Amino acid sequence: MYICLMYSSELIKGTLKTIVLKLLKEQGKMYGYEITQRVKELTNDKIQITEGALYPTLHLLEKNGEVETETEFIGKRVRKYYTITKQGRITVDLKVNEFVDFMNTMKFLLDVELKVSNVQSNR
Amino acid sequence: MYKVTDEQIDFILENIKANGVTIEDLQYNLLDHICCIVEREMPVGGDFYKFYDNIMPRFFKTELKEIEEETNNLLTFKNYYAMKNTLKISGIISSILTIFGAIFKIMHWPGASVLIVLGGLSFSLIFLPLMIVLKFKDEESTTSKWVFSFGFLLAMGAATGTIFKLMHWPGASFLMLWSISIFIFGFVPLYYITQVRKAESKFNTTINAILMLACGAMLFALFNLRPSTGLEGSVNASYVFMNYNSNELIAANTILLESVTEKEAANQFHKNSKDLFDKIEAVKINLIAKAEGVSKEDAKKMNLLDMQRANDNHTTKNDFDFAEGEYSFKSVSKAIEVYNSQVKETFPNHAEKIIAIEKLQLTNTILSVLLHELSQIQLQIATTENSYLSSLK
Repeated sequence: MYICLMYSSELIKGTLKTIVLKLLKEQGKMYGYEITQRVKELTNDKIQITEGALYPTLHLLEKNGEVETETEFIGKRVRKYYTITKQGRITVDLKVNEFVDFMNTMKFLLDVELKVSNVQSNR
Repeated sequence: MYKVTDEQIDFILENIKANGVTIEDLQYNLLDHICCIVEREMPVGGDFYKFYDNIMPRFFKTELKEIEEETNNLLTFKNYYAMKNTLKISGIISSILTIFGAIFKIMHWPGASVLIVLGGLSFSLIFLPLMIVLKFKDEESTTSKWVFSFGFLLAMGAATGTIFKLMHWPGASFLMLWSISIFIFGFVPLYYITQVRKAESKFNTTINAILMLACGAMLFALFNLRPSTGLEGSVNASYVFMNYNSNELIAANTILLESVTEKEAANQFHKNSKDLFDKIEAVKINLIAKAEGVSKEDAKKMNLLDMQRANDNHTTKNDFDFAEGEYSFKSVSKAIEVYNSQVKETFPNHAEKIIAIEKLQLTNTILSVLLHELSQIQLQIATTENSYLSSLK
């Protein structure tokens, strides 16, 4: 129920916060549906954020003070727009850096791992 | 573009609520989201209700409620981290405070009590309760949850009791005695029986049980910390020796009285001394009788070692310090004052013969000390009388 389609959900589980914050930082104020569509667009449908994962995350970010909301009434509907806060900007930089670092580490780690497993399988 | 009607909005909202989403914010978020999907993705001429049924599974795996559960999980998970951090910090702070408090106490530096109390209280009132809460969250088996929480609760009692004991606060013995004995005889066996069945932690369980038993037993041994019997013996010996001496001196004084020339003045001084001496003797007997619950006749024959409650401070407080009547501190100090004024007249140049009770520990002390001090006064009375009578000869 997390993020699906191209990549396994476990793979991207920890990055939803980063994706949402980064998007809000670049694009300014957005509402839920818009976020899902935008991610879909930007990744050529490779990453689709499911609603079941998006809203809990947005609520958490709001409670943490990393995003703030304003509501707009459209007839009987209420639309909640999310904007990134100062604290959210700090968090997103940290998260992006952490993720880049993580990717580099994984690259290195998996290269090593692959060689080891090759040796073992060749024995 | 298709426009969702007000009736359809009501339908969606009701449907969301009926599916167990209770957070209002989440309801409106979902409502707007669904409307957006309908308006942008529904094929021209499509049936709203049919389309609605088709898109809803996008929101969940088995039921819509999952979204709300996930939200709550995320939000409480945040508290969980905050709690773990508080646990860590309160644990570190209380250990540091307690260790420094102990060092300060050993060195007799000021501030020891404040450090120990703060350390102990943050340990027993922040650290341990948080441990209970986290155990309830983390531990999967219900039995373990209760067993561990029970243990932490007893640890809270024991820790608070120890702090109270160190500070000489009331209720310390009650807290320590009950929590430590329930810990040793209730918790440790319970812990062992419930946990030893888990094959993977069998060895650890045994070791933990032994460690807890050892620590508990050591605390238990400290519970009734009294002066050593050797010390008690020597204190008693000096008490008996002192009483013996003053009685000897009184006997000598009686003989001396016969031989003096100024009979009248001597008789008056002797009477005053004897009255005060006897009054103090009566106070001692009254206190012993009250503390031990024996008759005055039996109390007369008792020395400190015969007494069961020589270290008691209730009797001294209730029947001496704050009492009224002839056996009270008030009455004794009044009588000594009167006696002192006579001594001053008799020995205008000998200020040292005045009984300076403010230098003695007469109030706010334990029975054995009070008895000692009273005997001290008796000895001084006998000595003063002796030197007076000797001067007349």
